[in-house]
Amino acid sequence: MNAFLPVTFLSLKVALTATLVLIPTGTFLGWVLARKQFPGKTLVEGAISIPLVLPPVVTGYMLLILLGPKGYIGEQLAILGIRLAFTWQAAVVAAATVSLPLMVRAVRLAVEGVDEELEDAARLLRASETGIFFSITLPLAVHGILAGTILSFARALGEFGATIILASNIEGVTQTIPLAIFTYLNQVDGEGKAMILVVISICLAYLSILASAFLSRKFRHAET
Amino acid sequence: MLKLDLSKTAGDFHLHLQVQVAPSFVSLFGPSGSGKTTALNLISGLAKPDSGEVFLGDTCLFSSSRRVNIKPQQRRLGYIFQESRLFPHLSVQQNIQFGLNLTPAPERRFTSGEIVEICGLQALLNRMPAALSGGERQRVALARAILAAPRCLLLDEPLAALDHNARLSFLRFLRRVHIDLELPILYVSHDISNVINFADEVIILDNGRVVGHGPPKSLLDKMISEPLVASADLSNLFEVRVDSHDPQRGLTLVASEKNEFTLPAISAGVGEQLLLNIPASEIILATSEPSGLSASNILRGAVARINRLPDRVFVEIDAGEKYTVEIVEATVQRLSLAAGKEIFLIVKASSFRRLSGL
Repeated sequence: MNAFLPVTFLSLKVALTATLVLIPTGTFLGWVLARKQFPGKTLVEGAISIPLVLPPVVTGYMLLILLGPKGYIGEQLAILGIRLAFTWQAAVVAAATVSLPLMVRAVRLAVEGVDEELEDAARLLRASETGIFFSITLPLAVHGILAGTILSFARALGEFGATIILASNIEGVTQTIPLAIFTYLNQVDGEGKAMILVVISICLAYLSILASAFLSRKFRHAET
Repeated sequence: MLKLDLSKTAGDFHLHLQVQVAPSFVSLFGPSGSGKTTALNLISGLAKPDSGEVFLGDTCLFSSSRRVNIKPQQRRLGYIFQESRLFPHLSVQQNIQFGLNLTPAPERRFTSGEIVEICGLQALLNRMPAALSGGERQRVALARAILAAPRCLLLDEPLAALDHNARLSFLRFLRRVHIDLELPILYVSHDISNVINFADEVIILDNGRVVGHGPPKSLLDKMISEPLVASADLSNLFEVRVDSHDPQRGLTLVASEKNEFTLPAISAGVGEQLLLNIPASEIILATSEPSGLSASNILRGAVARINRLPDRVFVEIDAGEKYTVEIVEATVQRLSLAAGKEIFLIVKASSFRRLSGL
């Protein structure tokens, strides 16, 4: 049993870190797309959404081209002494990239659902634009942020294709639950071990669904 | 003093407002689509005029020639919207504190305790907006706007979603706010009858232009004869003096300059001046003097003019004072109404609406 703990722990670490990165960035991008008009908006929308429709392996390969040791950004990072590819942080980048569109989409829909007239009312009560964002828009869109967070966390936990390309499948370093299941299934007698990880996966997924239901009920009660 | 000279074009609608009003109770009146709400949005800074100027006292809020466009946050205008726009995730207390908390201490004029009392919100402070009635919501919106220390209140059809009693109650609070707190008010409505008794000035807007401006009484004729009121319910407004009470029969006798009326008992001192309103659709016409009627008020007069709107007919009758009666074209034919014809007006005691003394 002890062999499965580090894998589970690493998976949670990667998924949680990716989610923590996504909450502010996804919320900001979702709000920008819902409320702001700017040239090239369609291009930005496309760039954010493309991992949703691309095979994750392709997304991973594109990330490797950018961030790998010989990649455009990877070379710059190397000069600073930072090596990203094939580390657990690379697994975070891969997971965050494929989960980002889910987060942005959920936040965007929720922000679009917030009546802009309430924001106008706040403007006439002297609220600054930042103040309106934090005191009106964000609290009224919180269910969308929550839904996006849970969805992103679950997606990050299950991430496989982009991770195996950008972070590789290194035991104890980048081997998350899905990668470990893949490895065990390729071993002659690995099926039993894989099954244990499958059960752990189901438990984690179920827990996040319960957490989501609990939190959304709690926020809904706050408005009545 | 509010000084406006602004233009705005949206699609094929052109708004041009050029008007100057004293810091008092001003009503901006006009049919729907005449540009009233657009005007408020341009004054408040929620929308930007194409050109022109907006001055509040000596403060320039907007000037296209001087490239001034003060943000709505800094205009110090209180805006009460038709649908309240309370923040649904905040309690009544938090809603009314919202603007107050953002108002620098030296600019604050009132404490929340004072305003809560004036607006009658003591029992509602811990409620959420979803649990309030329409009238309560508007009172919360009023308190919230006042606490942000505005120099002028803008109200956009604040009575639209309220029933009759809630309207009277809201107007009572609004009047207290205007008089006790010395707050100038710009009140937008398509139905003037509710505020005419305490509006100091009325601006009539039609199709984006000012077509009348002055004290309300001087504009009554215009409001009634112009087709721009086609969408509003016409009213007969006139001042009366309380003559006597008849508690045994439950009646009050009042007199206008030329006529006497019997009303259901009202609480007003003998000699007190009241403003009464009879909706134009509640007066009955007869060509000969009726008898054996339950209605207690019968006036003798003569047809002065017949105004035909596309789907309604208004007959102006001179019975000492002028009265407007709404009828249908068929009635004009049946009674062979024409200018100069003698006519009797029949008004039920219950058709009178009391406007002043709110």
